[in-house]
Amino acid sequence: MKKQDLPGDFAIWIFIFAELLVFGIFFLAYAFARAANVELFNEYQQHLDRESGAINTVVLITSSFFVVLAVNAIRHNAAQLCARWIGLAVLLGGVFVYLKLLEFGSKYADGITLSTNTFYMFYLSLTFFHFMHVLMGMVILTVVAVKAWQGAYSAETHTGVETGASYWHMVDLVWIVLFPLVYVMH
Amino acid sequence: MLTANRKALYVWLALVLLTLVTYAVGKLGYAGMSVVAMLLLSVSIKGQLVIDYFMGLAQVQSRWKWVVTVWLLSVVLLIGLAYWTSV
Repeated sequence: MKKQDLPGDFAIWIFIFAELLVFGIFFLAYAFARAANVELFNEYQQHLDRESGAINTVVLITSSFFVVLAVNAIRHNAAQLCARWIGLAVLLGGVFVYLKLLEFGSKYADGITLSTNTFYMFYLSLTFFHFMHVLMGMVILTVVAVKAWQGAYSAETHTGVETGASYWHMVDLVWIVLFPLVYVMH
Repeated sequence: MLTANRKALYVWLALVLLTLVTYAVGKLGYAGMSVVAMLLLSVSIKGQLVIDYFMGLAQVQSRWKWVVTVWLLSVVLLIGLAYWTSV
């Protein structure tokens, strides 16, 4: 049976729509800037750590999957199980952050900054902007996990879980576009 | 719960598989408009799977849910246009 409303608090959806709009503009700015600098973008894209990007995609997708399991658990009144799945999702968020920091560190060690060239300006700003969203999502999910563990949610009342889940899936969705666009397509 | 979890597992497997294909395309160095089109199709499928089954919007009646799908399709089409103009 279909639900009438979006999952979670409607306010988070306004936030999600705004975030998607900003990321969308960023992606299009990247794509059209590339159209004017094809050789530069193609050359420097080859210097990115594609393995790290691919692993991080699988990490975020898996983390999102765990969040789905958490939502399914609370819908069946399994609050502790819900908290555990969210805890695992946050853990994978930590793996993403760790790999991203290694990637940023490697670029920094090579002397690469925002002003190195147009490609790196986009690469660093886009991935760092997304990185900040991962951190924020981890904070939100941690709060939800603690509250779930303390019994604040039930099968009837779990808007908070769905709200946190919706935000985390948005972070995943954005990365699904970002990875092929910045790391692969040329 | 088990049925819902199994469905989510299948979606996860599809997402991982498509990600591995994307990675392989990059690793093998394939390029060109047809490759870009294939990658953008993969992005559309992955994105819609996340929207429908992870976000759970396939089970929602509210018209607001279309905002996310329209966003995804607009971004994918405009990225395709940008790449097409650069060929």
